[in-house]
Amino acid sequence: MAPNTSALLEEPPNEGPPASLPAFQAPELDLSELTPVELLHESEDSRVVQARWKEKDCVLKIVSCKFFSILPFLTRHSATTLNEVPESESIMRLIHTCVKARLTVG
Amino acid sequence: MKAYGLCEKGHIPGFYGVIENIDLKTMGWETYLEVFEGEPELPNAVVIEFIPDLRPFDLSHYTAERADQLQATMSEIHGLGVEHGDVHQRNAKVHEETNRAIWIDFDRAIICPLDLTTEGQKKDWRRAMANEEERLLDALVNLVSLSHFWFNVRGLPLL
Repeated sequence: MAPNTSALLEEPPNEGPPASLPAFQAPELDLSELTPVELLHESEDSRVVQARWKEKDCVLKIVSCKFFSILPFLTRHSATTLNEVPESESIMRLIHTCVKARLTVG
Repeated sequence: MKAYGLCEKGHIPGFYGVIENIDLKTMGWETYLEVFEGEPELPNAVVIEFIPDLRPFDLSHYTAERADQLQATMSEIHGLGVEHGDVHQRNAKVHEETNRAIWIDFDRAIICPLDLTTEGQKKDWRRAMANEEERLLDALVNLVSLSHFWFNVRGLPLL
């Protein structure tokens, strides 16, 4: 009996998380809801500030639009990756990885 | 990563939200924002968990369990199609109070490129990216582990 070749050509069942992140709508906050505590770190294009938000300690990383200049670095894996979307959207995609804050305490 | 619960596991900082187009005159924040005056666009921000008393993942804070945790977390991050982009000892931290090993500073992180449309392309990208970072991470863990062995087990000073 001939093997079922079509079954061999099919993609294996999807296991674990998907190959890319799902759309995620990051909560939008209002700066007036936060109370600054102290400046933790500063660089040419950012400020990292400890703050209070809803009775929680938090860290706020404020990023200058000059930060956009690092975008070419981000395209090293694909020449067209981020060039095809508006800059602000590219930044927001990065932000959505929930990682933009540089926590330099300790 | 937030959507997949990585923040809640406690091995990356919790994510609270973003603030776009920050008003530089926001009451109480003026002194922190004055540096952004004169720029063509208003700054943005992210708000994340503040984790006090973070220690470096170095030989004085090394345990095999923490090393395993750092590697496991990085594997999970890669599994979601995210590259940390700055796998370095300075970004591997330890919170002794809760015995957590934590990755911080995702400034250079990138997600799976938008122009990869097929699952096969995405998997290839993810595999290549993960290999690159996991090689760096292996080197880091081995270095700290070896330092820990020589210093604490053999009692010899580091070279």
